[in-house]
Amino acid sequence: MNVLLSIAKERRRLLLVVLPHLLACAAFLTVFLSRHDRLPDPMATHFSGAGRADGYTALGSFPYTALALLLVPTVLFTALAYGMRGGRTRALVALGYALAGLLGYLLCALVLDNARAGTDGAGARLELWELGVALAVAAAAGGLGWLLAGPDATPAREPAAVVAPRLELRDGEAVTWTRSIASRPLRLAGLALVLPGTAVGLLAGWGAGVGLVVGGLVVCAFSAARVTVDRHGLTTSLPWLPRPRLRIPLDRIETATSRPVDPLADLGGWGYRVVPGRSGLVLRSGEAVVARLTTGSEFVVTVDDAATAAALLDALAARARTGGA
Amino acid sequence: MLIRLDPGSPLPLGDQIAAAVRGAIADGSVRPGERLPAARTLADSLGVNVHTVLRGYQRLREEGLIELRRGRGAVVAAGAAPPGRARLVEGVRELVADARALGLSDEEVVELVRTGLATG
Repeated sequence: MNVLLSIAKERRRLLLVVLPHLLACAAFLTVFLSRHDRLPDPMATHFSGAGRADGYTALGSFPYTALALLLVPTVLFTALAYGMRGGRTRALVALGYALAGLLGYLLCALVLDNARAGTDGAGARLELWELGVALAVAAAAGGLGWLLAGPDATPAREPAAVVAPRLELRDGEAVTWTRSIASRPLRLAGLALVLPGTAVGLLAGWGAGVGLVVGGLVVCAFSAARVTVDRHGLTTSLPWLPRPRLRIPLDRIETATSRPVDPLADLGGWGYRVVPGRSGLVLRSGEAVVARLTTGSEFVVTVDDAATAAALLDALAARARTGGA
Repeated sequence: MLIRLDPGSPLPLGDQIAAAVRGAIADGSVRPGERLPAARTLADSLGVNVHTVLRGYQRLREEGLIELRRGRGAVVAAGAAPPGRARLVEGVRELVADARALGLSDEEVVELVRTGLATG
């Protein structure tokens, strides 16, 4: 029964995400069809800072462009909301509402301005105050979305921690656990930036390609990490440099466990993430070391053989508390 | 890769480090071509002298399991061989320990292995 209820709830939530975009589409189509006879061909669709038209689109292709502009974010937001279902989606819903309000208002205003200009699109003006109104509409729609979404439920489906037997440490024993992790998708994403960047650089001059190349190299550099558990605490760093690094000292760690982590639902994405009550480095989904800190929040690192790492970290933290070596 | 150093063990610390890394190569938790932690970092982590770690790494290099290069640090040998080779070295160490426990001399052990190779 509970499962059915939660499925119905998730469906309602997805409907809530799609709704503003559909309303924006409906508003645009209503305005466009009612003014269709009075629209110039081509329509003015781009305006200079002073509000004068300086770009045009054929009347025949304008509605398709406009609908695509409205529907692409619809698909994006729906997919994100589905991916993060059960997670913290309130801000996402609000952002979707704001975007739908902004785009919907601007496209309707564009049609009305063109209709006012009559047969010649060059006479159409888009005044600055209309942008101001568009932003106000976006803010109002965003606020409405925020209210409709309601507070985020604390994730009920907290997966059970894998309880590892705490490693037994002998007196004076020095122990280190270390392992490197690499994210293949991140590395591919980095290469996907570097290669076109290089091509663009060769064809159109390095000024054009350097941003892509540098961005790609940075993504590649951060696609791997080394995780270490030792007498200092839990440390993550780049595989080939001692710094920069993230280190949680032992005296800040209450307990440590390992459990499976879903980057999108638990931390809102991949990489180094900070969400209320939880932070960490997630390069993939799957088993992770989860350290509960003395502040009550959690620090998460996805890594293979997390159970061993967690068992050792727990033992080291306990030894540090009792004042052992 | 879990490295535990027992100060009470008769095995030198460097050899204990080598044994732990060897075990990690054997069970695949450190992959061929992967970089090992820098000797200085690992020494700081374990609270031992950097030369102790380097002695362990040197032992692994002699066994053909890792490569030590100036500037690049310690890298597990590439190819498919390292895991099997690490297990083989572990087997050799067991053989030596068993032979010592039986009181065999080095020549007798080598002779045994030579006989094994001739008939194998």
